Amino acid sequence: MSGVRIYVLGMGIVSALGSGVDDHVQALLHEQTAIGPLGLFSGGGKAPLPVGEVTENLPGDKDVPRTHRLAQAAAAQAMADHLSPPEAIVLGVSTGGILQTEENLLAGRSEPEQYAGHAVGSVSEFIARQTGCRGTVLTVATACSSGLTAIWLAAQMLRSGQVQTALAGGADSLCRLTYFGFDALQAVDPAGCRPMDVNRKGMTVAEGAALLLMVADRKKPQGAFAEVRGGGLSCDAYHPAAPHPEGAGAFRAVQSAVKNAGVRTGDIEYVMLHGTGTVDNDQAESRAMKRLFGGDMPAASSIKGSVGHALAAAGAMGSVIAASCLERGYLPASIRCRQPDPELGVTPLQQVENRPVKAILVNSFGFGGNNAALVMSVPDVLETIPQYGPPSGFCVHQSCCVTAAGDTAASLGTVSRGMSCRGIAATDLIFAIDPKRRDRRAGKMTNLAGYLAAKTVPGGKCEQGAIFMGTGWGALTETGRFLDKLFDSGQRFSSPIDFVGSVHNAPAGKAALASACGGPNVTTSGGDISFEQALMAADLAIRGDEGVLVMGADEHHARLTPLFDPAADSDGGGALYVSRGQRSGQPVIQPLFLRYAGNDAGAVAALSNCMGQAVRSFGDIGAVFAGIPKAYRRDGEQQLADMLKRIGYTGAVVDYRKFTGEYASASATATVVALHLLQAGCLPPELTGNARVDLTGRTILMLTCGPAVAATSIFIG
Amino acid sequence: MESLIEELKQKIVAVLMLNNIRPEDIRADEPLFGGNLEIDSIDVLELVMMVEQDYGILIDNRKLGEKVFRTVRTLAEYIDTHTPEV
Repeated sequence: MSGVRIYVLGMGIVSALGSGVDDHVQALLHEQTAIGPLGLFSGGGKAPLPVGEVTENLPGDKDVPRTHRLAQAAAAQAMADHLSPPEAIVLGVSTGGILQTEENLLAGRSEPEQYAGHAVGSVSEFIARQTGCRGTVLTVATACSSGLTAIWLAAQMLRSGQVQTALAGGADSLCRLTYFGFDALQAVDPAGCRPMDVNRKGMTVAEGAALLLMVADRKKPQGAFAEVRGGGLSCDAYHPAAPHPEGAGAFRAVQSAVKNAGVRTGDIEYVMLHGTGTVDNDQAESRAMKRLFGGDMPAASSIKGSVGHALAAAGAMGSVIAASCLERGYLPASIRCRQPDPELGVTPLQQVENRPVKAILVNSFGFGGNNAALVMSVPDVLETIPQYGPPSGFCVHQSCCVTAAGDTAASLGTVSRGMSCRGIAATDLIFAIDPKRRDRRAGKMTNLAGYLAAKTVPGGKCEQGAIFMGTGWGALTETGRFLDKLFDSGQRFSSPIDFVGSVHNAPAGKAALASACGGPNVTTSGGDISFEQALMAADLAIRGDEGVLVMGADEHHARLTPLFDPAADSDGGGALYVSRGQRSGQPVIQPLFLRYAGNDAGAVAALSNCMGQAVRSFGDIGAVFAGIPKAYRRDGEQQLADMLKRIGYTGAVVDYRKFTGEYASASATATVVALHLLQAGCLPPELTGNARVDLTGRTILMLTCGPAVAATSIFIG
Repeated sequence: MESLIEELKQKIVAVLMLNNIRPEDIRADEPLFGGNLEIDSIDVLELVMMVEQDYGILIDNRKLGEKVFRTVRTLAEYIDTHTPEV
């Protein structure tokens, strides 16, 4: 297997400390902190808490949400010396445009257009438009580890040769949800965060964006700052918000990162700590570090005393600063840690050190026990990393779905009679199957994820298992309840239960907790291709033979869904339990293509070209399942006709949203239905509106049309 | 005190969405945390918010929280002795 290197060619960063890498390096060399009282919105009658607020003038239109504009500023810096658009964009975002949503809700605005920037996935799509990217666009929403997870997934994309360049990182703005939410959890230090300090009392909520432009190459391109070596993910599967006290999950992530990066622990000379300043995080992280490095703990520090905790952007900021350390030969101090906690056994740097280091470990951990770690190095000082071969798809062991018609059998029966499952899935079904698994605090979405996991993971448990979940809108019940309580009380009271439950990765975190899945746990969110993004993320992350749960689900919320996704009239979801390799007689699912099309007709041509190649390798197409979201019906039908013409396909086409109804993750449900029909060997005439179609030995192509186009093949191995 | 205890039981069931538990099932002296009710640290913080909102009493550190939320009775006693005078 030949070797490859992933070089960092461009960097952008905006935080409370300033804008641009130079500003940040100067501020860190001078041991500055930018933590100060909240000014962006009212603190709800209490004295404003310290935050890390960006005071720079942001580029772009004031109507564009703040997170998008933070990302825009960082993207412009990263792309400043590069004329060609990146081939892929992978961003970690945890709250998207919710600051604007909060203001709209407070003002009683009810036009869906005013909520167009709410979705976390809208940030990546906005950056794709800004940079002219017409390639793969992925949005990761794993709370505070989103940005670092995004960078690693982009690195895996580069390493597998799928793209040559990728722009990746994270962005989050301050918003009421996180400001009041972390305060309700008593996780905020009223004096400002003091990471690793003996008197630490919590974190400081912050905002910002940080992005890396990465390129895969065999020799160092001019201007390369650093190398991204590799990374690792894990899930604590321990608690919705608190880290595992021994740092067991964090340890698995860093151990996996070191292995994936092809380095020895002795190569790592500095650790960019997650170091939030909460009692629990700093303890769990220190324990994981001591376990990884033994008695040879390298230098370490947290920059959160300078910039605060910028949530989804935090790990990406850590990576940008780490790249600057590798390039310029300095190590930042742990500002605001005045008296290191002796119990931690890890003493962070008290002063800046001016010395070169060879390799750096960057840590980032989040709610849901979603952990990420990344290894970066000086260019060309370590061996190349092996390039991956083309992915071989996943063997499907079990699948299930929930629709308004009921469980998998009821849904299949309905569809097979040519009837529709359109409508709102009954919560009773989700709660009734296994009352012990019901999470009393959680709303429909999280319990739906728990149900899907219980029905698909063999025996309900999979200790090494991984979970990849796509959702367009996340847990809307909890988001709605949180904002209602906050606004009804004049922004004085909020619910810690609903805050923890509102994060997009809460459902996948719950599924991991219920199924003891300690492997990677990634939630993706990209409107109507959220499930396809989850499948692609699994394809990028999973190289071993562990079990993988791939899900897509959404819940309909009576008040919020009409604002966010006005065409949605249904909900539900689907899940597949898969693993690598193909077994004779078992179904195989293989993601083929995922691209942000915008108004670019070239995306359809590229997809058709990709499908044409794939069709030659896997044979005869028995049926096409096409998903055309209602909001893009006319253009989508044109795209579909164009694709089918290009590949010369004239067979059966199932317009699946007619039987799933309209919702972001409808493709997950449709995929489960298609899998069952493939295993049954035929498409009933009621579904095609024509003759019965024999599927024996043939492939079903799942196509998604609209602003993003995607293709997935399923066939019997 | 007894009426406050009964009031708190109802609030605990409602705020924590304890679907399968009736207020009368909770004994005033049984441990709230780590007991049969399966209440965890996030639930305690939710109760902290309820106590602040409904009784005007702030419990803003973990150590004090552990003491106050030991049982419904300890919570009622704390509220009783700390209720701000109108």
